[in-house]
Amino acid sequence: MLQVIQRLYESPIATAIRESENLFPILQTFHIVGTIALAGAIAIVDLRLLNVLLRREATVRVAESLLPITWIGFALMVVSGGLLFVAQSARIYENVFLRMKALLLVLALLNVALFHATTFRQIRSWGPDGVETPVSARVFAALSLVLWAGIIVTGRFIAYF
Amino acid sequence: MSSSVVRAGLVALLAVAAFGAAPTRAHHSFSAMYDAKKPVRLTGRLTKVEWTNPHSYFHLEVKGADGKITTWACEGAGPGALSRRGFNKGDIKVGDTIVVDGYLARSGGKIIDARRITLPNGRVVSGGTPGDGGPQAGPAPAR
Repeated sequence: MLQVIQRLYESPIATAIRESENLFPILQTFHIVGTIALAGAIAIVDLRLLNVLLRREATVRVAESLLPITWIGFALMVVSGGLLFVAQSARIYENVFLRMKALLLVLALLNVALFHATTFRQIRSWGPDGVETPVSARVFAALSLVLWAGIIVTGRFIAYF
Repeated sequence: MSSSVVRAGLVALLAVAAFGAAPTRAHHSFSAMYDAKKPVRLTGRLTKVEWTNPHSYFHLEVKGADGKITTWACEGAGPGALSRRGFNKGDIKVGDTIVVDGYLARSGGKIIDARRITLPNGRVVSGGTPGDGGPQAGPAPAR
């Protein structure tokens, strides 16, 4: 595995980003913009599911209108994050916060996959507006908020250890 | 538990999460790693140059007073900031002798924050990361 990481680190694209004058900070900027789009859209849907925000709006409408922004954010995160990772791979591979972030990321993706495979399927039967969301939906939403906040915090801390 | 209590709690939780996500230190700030009370001047032979983001590293072989050779890493700003100061990758090569004024790491490791670098041709450039909160000029040259 370490050899693969070393090869990745020494690849032309990783070296170009690592030694670039502007590309590295530009990628960092896109990573922040992606965080806003992704985590922001997710947080709004989660807060609707928890009956904190937009309580007069049907949950399905909130979820569906924010889905494209979530995907745009996700695409930005994967591309910018992937490139920032390969550029520094050999240096940060053993970073404890990188590993914690990866674990939280897996848990967050499992959480959303499970939500969409179960509770979310009945979303249209929750009623048009102002209707309380089921307990299972609120549990998924609370977990999602905690996991994504954890991903942002651990991601930020990679730079300091 | 009333829903307004739940709501207030959630807002508080989010606020805590948001502030936790934005540490008050800037990216890899000076004081997080280095001690401004421990200036040091290293003169040595370059063994390796890492012209890299987000920080660059200049590895120096330094001969101590006892004749023993120690390898030090000197951390500087990234390529973008250095080149804007007129310091480019081609200005140094392995084998060159350079002088680095900086500050020791809090960890006690053989790493310093390079605030001022004297290039082989005598030109002095600032090596510090912009906006990291570290001392503006390098420490007074040691005699």
